[in-house]
Amino acid sequence: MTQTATPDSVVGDFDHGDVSYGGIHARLRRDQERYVIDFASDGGAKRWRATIERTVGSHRIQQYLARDGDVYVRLPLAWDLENQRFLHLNGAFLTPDPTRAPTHTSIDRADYDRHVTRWNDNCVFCHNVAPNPGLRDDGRFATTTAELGVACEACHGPGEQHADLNRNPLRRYALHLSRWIDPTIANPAQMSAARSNEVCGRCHGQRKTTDIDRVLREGDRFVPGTPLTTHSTPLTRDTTLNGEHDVFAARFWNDGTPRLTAYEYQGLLQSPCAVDADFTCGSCHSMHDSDPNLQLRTDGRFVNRPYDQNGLCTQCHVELADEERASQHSRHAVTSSGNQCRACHTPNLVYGLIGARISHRIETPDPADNARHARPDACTLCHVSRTRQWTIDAVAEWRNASHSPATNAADADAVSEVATQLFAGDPIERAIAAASLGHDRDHDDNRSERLAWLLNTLAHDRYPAVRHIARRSLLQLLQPTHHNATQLLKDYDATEIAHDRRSQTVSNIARALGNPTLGRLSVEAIDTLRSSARTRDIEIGE
Amino acid sequence: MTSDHHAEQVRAQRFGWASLLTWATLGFVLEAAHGFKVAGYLDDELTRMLLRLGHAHGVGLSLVVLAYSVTALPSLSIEPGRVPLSGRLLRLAAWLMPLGFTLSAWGHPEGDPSVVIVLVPVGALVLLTALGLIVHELWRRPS
Repeated sequence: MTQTATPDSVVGDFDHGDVSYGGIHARLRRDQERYVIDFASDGGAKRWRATIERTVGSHRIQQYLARDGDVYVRLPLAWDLENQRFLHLNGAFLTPDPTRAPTHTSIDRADYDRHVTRWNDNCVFCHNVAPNPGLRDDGRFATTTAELGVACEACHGPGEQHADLNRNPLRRYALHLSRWIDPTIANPAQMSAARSNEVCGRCHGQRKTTDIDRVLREGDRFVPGTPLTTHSTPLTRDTTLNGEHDVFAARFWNDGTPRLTAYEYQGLLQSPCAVDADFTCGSCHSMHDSDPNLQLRTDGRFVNRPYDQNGLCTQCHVELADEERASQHSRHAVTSSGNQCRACHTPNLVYGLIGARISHRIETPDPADNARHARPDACTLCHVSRTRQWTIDAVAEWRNASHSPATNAADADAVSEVATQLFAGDPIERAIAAASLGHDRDHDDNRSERLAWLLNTLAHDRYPAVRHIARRSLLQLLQPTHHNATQLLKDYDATEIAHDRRSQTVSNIARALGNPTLGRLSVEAIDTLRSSARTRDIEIGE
Repeated sequence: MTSDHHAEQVRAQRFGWASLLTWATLGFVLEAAHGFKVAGYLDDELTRMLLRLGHAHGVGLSLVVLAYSVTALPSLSIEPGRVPLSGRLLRLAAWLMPLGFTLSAWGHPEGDPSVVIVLVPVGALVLLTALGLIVHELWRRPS
């Protein structure tokens, strides 16, 4: 949500903010009630200042906006709430290091400002109520919003008449005591499932508008409760742009499953659950009375045991509410993370906000089909030491198909699917693989290999976002006794562009961990895998 | 004071002290709910406000009834064998208003108390009538 920059809204530490990236030093300070960033490059020969007027985001990453005449400009530094430090946005989005020279430490201003964008015709649409960029014929903006941030009217539509009429208590109690639906306000809970989902899909389902010029002039004309498709269509893998194909292909796996956040609506539409006329975003999420981080409904059966996180699904799948039956269904132990519905049916194969996020396409795991589409499968994202074939055979055996199960011994000699993805995949595949290596697992059979693979990624992957995720996974894998390695990792800067500096830091971390071995992978094998990844660069900002 | 005055005083004081005990007990329960962080009480701001209002009005009006029994009542004229209307209305109001607040906290719709809240304006009108009668009576009597 967009907020005016005040001491109440700014969460970054502006008392100790100093960020050096690519040879440009930024000093972030609070000056009375104002927040400013002083930039200096070329050893201080070039200096410029940005005064922060607004913020966007407050849960994971807080971005900062400066005003430049009629526009608000997103600045290149953001506050990373997880790590409690400032972050250059080149490390937050899927974008490679600006330079590949191993000792290069400075970058061009254009590379530094790669993700500096305009709020008025970008962020404004989903971080505010009733946004209107107000693009004029002279190219200037007269941007307006009904309210900064995401508030009631974002989901309920214009509320002025509703508020006016309901000052009358008799009207309110007539509504309370009858089944009359108040026609003066949109209420997703009382809409058809399709209309209700479209309210969320407006922002959680990237779209292509039918008339972009009009949207830039007059704003998004969508009103909650009306069909979303009147003004736009959700992007899919096959969506064309001005007759050009594959423009959006990198945002989806080959089977059409979204692989970026902000495409949750598309995932929902692909889900068999959505065939049910009553299944909506609200079946699992609540905008009221929920933790703002995931906004999951809390009226289900949620406690801390893994099994009980299934409460959202067993609202409908009541036959699996019994934990023994759920265990038989999942073929995992009752207390196993594999006995969580989400582990198999909505695996973390979506990239967003420097992490692997849950897929919103609810599906039955089918590793054979996933392999055909060169897509990660739920099984190997947990069984990270296994090959794709092992999981195909295991699932086929479960289903009594005519497959001969792979032996564990044969599988032990092969390169695991996750390792292949980590080194040979495109940046999203590498990010998903890096995240999967850090999860708590029921088995701890290849911890040393996982540490070595992740360390290799920290040193050599060209995408800072992938390195950032690898760092997080490493921290999750470390034992309490790894004091030195933990501290070194905490100090490790995933956005460091100088390869030799990164390698040196990683060598120190590896030494502190007793130099874990790569196991069945050699350095040469990794280089070979990585060479195929070099042909698969993508760049996706927000 | 006549025997009718005395009888009315006993009625008012029995009611007042019993009512005070009841609503003070509710206050104790609410404090305990705070102390033990009872989610059903703390998480619903409207429920909390209504219960607090029930407690406050109950205690306050109980004290008004007790004050009536020792200040206004001796000066009122009471027809032999009758219970004064002002006293009856005062005691009725002293139950209707706190009960309205308290009971409307249960099962309330979003943003409003439950329909039982209607007891509160009814109780307020009864209270104003009782106070009006008392004031009228006191001003009517020679000083």
